[in-house]
Amino acid sequence: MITTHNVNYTYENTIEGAALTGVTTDIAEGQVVLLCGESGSGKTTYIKAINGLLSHYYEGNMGGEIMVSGKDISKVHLYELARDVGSVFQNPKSQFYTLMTDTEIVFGCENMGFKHDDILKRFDKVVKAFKIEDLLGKNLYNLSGGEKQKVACASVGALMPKVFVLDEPSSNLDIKSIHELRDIIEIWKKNGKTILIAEHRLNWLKDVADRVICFEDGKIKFDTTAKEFFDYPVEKMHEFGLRAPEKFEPKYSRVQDDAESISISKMKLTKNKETILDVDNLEIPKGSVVAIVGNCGAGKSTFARCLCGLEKKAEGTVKVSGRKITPKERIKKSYMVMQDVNHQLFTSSVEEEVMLGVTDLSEEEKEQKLSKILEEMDISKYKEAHPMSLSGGQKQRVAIAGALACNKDVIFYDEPTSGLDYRHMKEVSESIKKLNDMGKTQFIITHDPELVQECCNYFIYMVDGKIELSGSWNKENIRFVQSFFKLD
Amino acid sequence: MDTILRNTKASSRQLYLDPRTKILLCITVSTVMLAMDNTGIFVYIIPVMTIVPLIFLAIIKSPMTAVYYGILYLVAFFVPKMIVAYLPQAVNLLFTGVLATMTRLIPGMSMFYFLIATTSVSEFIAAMERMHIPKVMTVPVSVMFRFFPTIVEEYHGITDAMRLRNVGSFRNPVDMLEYRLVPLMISLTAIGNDLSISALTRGLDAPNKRSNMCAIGFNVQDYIAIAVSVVILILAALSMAFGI
Amino acid sequence: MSSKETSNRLNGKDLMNVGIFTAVFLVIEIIVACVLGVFPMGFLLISVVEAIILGIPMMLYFIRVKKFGMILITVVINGVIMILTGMGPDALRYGFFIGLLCELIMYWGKYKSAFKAILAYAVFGLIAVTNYIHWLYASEEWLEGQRSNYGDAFVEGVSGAFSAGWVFPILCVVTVVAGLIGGFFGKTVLKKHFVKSGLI
Repeated sequence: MITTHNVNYTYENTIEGAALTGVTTDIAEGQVVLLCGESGSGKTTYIKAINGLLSHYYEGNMGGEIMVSGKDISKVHLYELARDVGSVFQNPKSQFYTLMTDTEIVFGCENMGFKHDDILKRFDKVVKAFKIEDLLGKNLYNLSGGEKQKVACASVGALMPKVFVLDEPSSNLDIKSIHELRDIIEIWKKNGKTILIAEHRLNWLKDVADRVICFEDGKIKFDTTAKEFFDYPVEKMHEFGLRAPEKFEPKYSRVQDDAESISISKMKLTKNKETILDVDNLEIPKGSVVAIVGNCGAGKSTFARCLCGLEKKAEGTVKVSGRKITPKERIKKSYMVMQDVNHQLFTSSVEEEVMLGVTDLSEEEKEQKLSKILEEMDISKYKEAHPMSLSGGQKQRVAIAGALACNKDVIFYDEPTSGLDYRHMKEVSESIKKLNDMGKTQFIITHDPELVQECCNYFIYMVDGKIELSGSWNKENIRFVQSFFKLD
Repeated sequence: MDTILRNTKASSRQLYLDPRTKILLCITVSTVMLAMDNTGIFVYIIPVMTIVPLIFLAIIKSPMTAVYYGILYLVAFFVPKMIVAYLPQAVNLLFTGVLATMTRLIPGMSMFYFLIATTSVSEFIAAMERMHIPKVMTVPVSVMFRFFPTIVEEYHGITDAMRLRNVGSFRNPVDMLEYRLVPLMISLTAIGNDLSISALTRGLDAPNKRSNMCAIGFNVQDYIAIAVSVVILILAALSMAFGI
Repeated sequence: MSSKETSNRLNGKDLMNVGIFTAVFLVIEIIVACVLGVFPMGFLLISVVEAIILGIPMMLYFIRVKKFGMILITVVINGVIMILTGMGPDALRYGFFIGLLCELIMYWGKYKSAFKAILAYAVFGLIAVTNYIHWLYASEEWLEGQRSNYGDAFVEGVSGAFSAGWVFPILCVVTVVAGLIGGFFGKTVLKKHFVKSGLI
């Protein structure tokens, strides 16, 4: 079905080497192949080779041959390939072209110029198969990430290609949505489709994938059956730079001292006459690293935004050791490392970025503080670089450095490790641990059990805007979180 | 199953009219407002034109907007007359005059509001495609509409980040612009790139004629509205030519 | 080996760029017009302020324009929206030719010259001025019509500035100068951020 023969590819204007070197694969029809590897290893580039983007969209040098369904990719237009290869990408919010679910699902068919009745038939078929009747007629902006990905899958599914390629489709999804996505892939598998999935989070594909190909530095490192792969021990997976959540064993437990506590009472937020946040009473020991877990729409981001003072309409009081802290003070003392790190980098050099907003120090003091912080965040050598030229992980560290420079005490993270491989996830957890040593209180909204395991010592579980469970790592809590992440 | 794709008739949500009719109404109202003065036959027509938006507001059941519109118009109509005698000439020049010209603009803008509020993007694009407007216009227009809410969303994300960093206040206007616009453009171009590959791998560039699933079509009420508009436009042309 | 479309026809990616930047253009245009239009002197400053603020996004747009027609589409869309909102056909009528002039300047610079791009942007700023044409030149007859509404005193009071023939040309010149400043500002910011970070 898909054959690549000695494919080489180098992106234009890149300082790195070749993205793919000598990649030769042969994938039979109906196989479900999991592509794994560290960031930059070439798995995404391989997907782009298969769906024609390398040949027709990106600028670069291509060598070798790629055949899909008997067609030579380089000789076929992208719009012709649309009927053979359906692509689902990583970011739910930038994949939809129209504003409503119904029109989005038929978008591809409309482009192809199919007849009205034909399109309706395809629409009915795909909506029924994926069970997304309840999503019809809705504005795409109001859907959760998981729901958007389902609509994206339906949209490419309506074109009925023989091959589906998915590029890290679960990065921004919660556990429930990942399982719904898996159901969709199983439907495709049952219909005999050939499926390629590039992923960091591997567990959810355990019983779905037939074959696993691992990339490293643009070459294929190994190519094995799924059964063999998922029997590898955790250490071996980590050696390959892959994520391998097994049981849930939090490593970082808090030294019990009588620290001060942050107490939150009656925090509420209503939007459009609906109460989207209702926290009656919560006490967090100061200086903890708190994991905020829950499904999409549970109110995690809302809670973080209210707590750090960003939501002007929020009610409720926050006290630290009995002293009330107003929202204005909370903004001054909090920082949020956002999911979309592009929103929070403003200047053209890392040093300027980190020192932004610091107004009460002399030039000398600034220099000193700057070097110290850059050193701690391990970005000293990027001092003069433009923040946007850095990798995702480095950008995150610049953002954190900025928070340190402003003497922020409470730091929030919104999904800091979505889409990161094992090594980078460890880097993030190292930064978090460092900040913890400095006495900062940290809140981490995350779907990543490995991150929680590495560095969190407290947790909050939210459902529908309320906090159902919270506490430190006792036996019951560990068991609860383990089942929540479906690791048992 | 139930989906808007199966709709064959315009509903109250669309003001019971085809998008092309609504566009014609927009053009008619704005032409009359702009080009005609209060002489001749138009002395009667102009007040009618200003009431038309109120009718539509009633159809879409939006009483608050109707009140808002009414108040705005009355203010623009009466206030200049009342205050013109009391203010110095310089202020009259620039302020009162502008207020009076509002009476010309408000009906047109409200018609546009209707067009936007009662027509979904897909219906609009369907209308454009029916009018044989080529892809070079329909694709940018649909992308444009799709990006309006995105721009608002991204902008809010950036201003939130700015609040947490305590930057961007009005003290330094250059910085203020830079800190807002640069991350916004970076964000939008990144989303734009992702959107491009998603749309292209679903056949956006196909050279064939595009189908459209949105049901639009003329009905009785459209023909009536079109007839009335055409009559008014003819009268306007005659009025300009022969001054009736 | 690769069959990339290097023709001069606008492909899907180009059209999407037009859509995105036209959206930004319109949003900023509307916000500036609404904010400034309230103040007495404000409405005359609209085109000048727009020319400066739009410098950053529009220069990014112009740098990406490598084919004929993109700027023209933006101008036409703007013109049509002006007609639909009741601001008159001038934005389309005169805007079309302004857009054509911008395209020619860009073509003259072979889509590579930054200076020509700034010049094209300065001319592009005149689009905002087209909205004034109607008020400044139709004012005579309109004012006569208003006599019956508002009485002589009002008409005498308002007729001053509107009919002064020198207002409009000065406005055009000031707008173009503001456009040059805005364009230059935009280019500097682009170099500082987009070029340095490798996004361009």
